[in-house]
Parts: sequence; C-alpha cells; structure tokens
Amino acid sequence: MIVGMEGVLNKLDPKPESEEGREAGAEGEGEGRVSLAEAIETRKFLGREFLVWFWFLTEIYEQKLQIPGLGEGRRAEGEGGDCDAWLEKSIVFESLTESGKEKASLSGVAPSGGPESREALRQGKTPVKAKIAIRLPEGGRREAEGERAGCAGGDFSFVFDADHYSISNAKIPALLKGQGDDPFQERMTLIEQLEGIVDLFYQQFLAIRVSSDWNRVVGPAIRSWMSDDGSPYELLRAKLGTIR
Amino acid sequence: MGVLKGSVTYSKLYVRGALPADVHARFLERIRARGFKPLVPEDEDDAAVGWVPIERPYDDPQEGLGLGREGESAGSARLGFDASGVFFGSYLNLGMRLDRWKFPAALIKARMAAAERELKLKTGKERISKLEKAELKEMVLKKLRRDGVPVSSFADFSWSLETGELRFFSKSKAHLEYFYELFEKTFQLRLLPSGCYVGAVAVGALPSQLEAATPTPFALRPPPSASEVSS
Repeated sequence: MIVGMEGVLNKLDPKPESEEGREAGAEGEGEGRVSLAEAIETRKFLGREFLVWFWFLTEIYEQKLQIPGLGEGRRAEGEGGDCDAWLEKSIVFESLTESGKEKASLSGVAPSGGPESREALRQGKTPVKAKIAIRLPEGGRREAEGERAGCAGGDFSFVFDADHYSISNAKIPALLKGQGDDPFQERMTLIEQLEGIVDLFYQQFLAIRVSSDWNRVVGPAIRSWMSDDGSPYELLRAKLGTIR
Repeated sequence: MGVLKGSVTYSKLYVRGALPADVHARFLERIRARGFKPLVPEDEDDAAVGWVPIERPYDDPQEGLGLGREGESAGSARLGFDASGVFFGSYLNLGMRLDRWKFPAALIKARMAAAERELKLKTGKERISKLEKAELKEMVLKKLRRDGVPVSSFADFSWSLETGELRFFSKSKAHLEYFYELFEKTFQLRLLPSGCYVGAVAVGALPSQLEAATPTPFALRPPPSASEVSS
C-alpha cells in the first residue's frame, strides 16, 4: 500500500506545527532517532541498492517482471501485473575510494548487459543513474484504469537517479485516445502511473531489504549473478522463490 | 513547460501544512500578489521572480493590450490569473518565471576598460580610485541593462491539492532555490523534497527500519587503494 500524504508526514514529523519539531526535523518513533535531514542524506544508498536489485531482476527473469499490486482486486491474490522491463542505453556508476570519487559511464544499446557493468559492481562501484524501459501490456489499461499504478498499456522509459530517487527525461505513451478531452489530466495520469510503478517496485524492494531475506537470500544471489560464477538464472530464480 | 508538454523531468516535493477553507479564492489572491513583474534597468535587483500562467509565461504586463477584466489590477489581469487557468480539477498548475540580468564577463570587462579610458581622458588622471571604479561599473551595468534584455527562464509545477504531491518540472538548482522561497511565501506552506528516504516512508517503510539499515557490501574485492591507483 502506498501511504497517503498525511501518513508520510505523520511518520516523518509528528508535530509539524511545533517550532521544536521543525528545527529538529523528525522525531518519529522515540529517542535516538536521527534528524530528517541526516536521514535523507545518509539513506541515499537505498536508491543505489534498489537500482542494483531491479537490474538483477530484469536480467535473471529475462525482462519479464511482475509489478506487485498492479491490477489488485482483479487478479488472484499475490499475483501482480506483468510487464517487460530492462535497462538500456546508459548506466553510470560511482564509488568512493581513498583517492576520491570514481565515476564510470557506459553507453550503448544495452550497456548493463555487458561485462564492464558487472565488473564495475565487482569493483565496488554502484549505479547512480540508469535508463530504464518498462513496457506494459495493452490489457493493463482496461484492467486498472484510474488506479494510481495501473492503467494504460504502452512503453515508458526514463532516467532513474538513484541518489535522489527521481525520474527525468521520461517518455510516456502517446496520450490516450477517446478517453476524454483533457490533455493535462491524461498526461498527469500517465506520469502518476509511471511514478506509481516505480513506487511499487521500490516498496517491494524495501520490504525485502529490511527483512532477514536480504542478507540470507537476495544479497548472495546478487553476488552470484555479479560474479558470473556460472550459476544458471534458473537456479537463482529458484533461490529467490516467492520472496522477490 | 512540463505540465502540459515537453520533457517529463521533474523534482518531486511534498507540501506540508493545512490548506485554507476557501482554497481557490485565497490562493488566487496570493498568486496575484506575487505575479511576475518584469525587471527594469533602474531596479537594484539583479533578478525578478514571480508566478505566470502556465500557458502564457512570457506575456509581460507592459506588452499586453490592457484588456483585463474590470476590477483586477492591470498586471494580474493581463497575466490571466483566473481560476480556470490555475485550477485543473484537483490540481493547481502554475508557472514560475525567473528573469535575470546576465552579461558575459568579457563584455563587462571590455566596457569597463573603455569607460576607464574615457574617464582618464576626461579627468587627466593616471589612476582611478576604487570608488570611481565601482561607480563606473554601476554605470556600465545600467547601460548594458538599458541596451539589452534579461535572460528569462521558466519552470512550471503541478500540485495535487488532494494528495499534497507536487511536481516541479525542473531540476535546476537555481530554479529550485527560487521556487522554494516563492512557494513558501505565497502559500504559507512548507515543502519537503522527495528522495530515497522520504520516498521509502511514502511507500510504507518504517523510519526506524530504514535508519537501522546499513549499506550492502556488494564488492567482491575491495576497491584499489590510493597507492595502488597511483602505482
């Protein structure tokens, strides 16, 4: 579930009107909590890990992913909407070393599929930006029209900035035809749909990331994929089982 | 120009605070009060920032034909701040225009050199004092402003009044700085940028869990040390 705005603010700052609360940023759930500013700054690694995880999934599932929650209520419980997803055209890695920040940019048709990309991961670089393409089946449009994450089928692509969890240079499908005469509303629906899809994947990632499954199953599977140790994708998929 | 067309590149923000009861009327009044007013060469300010309608960001008040509705101030009427141009269903859509005087440093330097030569000839002085230089610079900049036009830029935003989510269609640091200030002054509400942490909380993660998380060491071998890199 994507929480409403009120819920977000309540979690981040239970007393938004108090001067003290404003100064401190967030108090949240008790003593010892970090300030909101500090949390924002120090949790950027989650965006990079999310991108690694997403990239890993697109490879081992050969671009066929399920968007968790898409079409909920219209499909069997636990089953999400299907989509094709892949990384394309450009990926940028960064790492911090003793000698400073190191950056590597790779571009091409599908640079994330090349050996250089996984070598960058092996050397401790993490992706900070990547171009992602998502193709939704046409049926999705009818199934979930009007829902935040589900509706129009079609091709989306965008550059994902992992450190800021943000979208840029997004291409959205051509405006829906025959669905009304409000181009703004239609454009916004598509933008929200794209954002909603990314949020649903992020939500799925976070649920795993904060669980013991991350270190027990997912982390080792990602390292195995990174190392090109010969593990067949089928085996990695079996290891992930239902937790992906 | 992202709200209606163009590149879909935006900074996502959350609006914090309660909306007034008569939201349309109150916000229109405040938007009009901070509508864009063009720079004039005599102004001391180097920049002018204000709201403009998303569909006509460059309709300057002085360029208009004076056909605004009776009872509205001339500038705001020409800028077209009526409810139908600002409120689109449950969204508030608005543009921010930023005009700045900007001249190439080399041009300023050349004009200054010419002005200094002229002053030396006129006064017969060999050297020019710091104060005189400052006065000359002011005159040079004023002349450039009179002869030129400001550099104008525009970015628009769409704010869902229902969810509090706001998409500002620019990632420029300068745009964002001006936008935060103008938005918070106009609407008397605060903005919170989205990002990995806020985005995580927005999708249901608990702050305590996020704060307990530490980076995953993916590297299969440690990164080369500084000495290894240099050798």
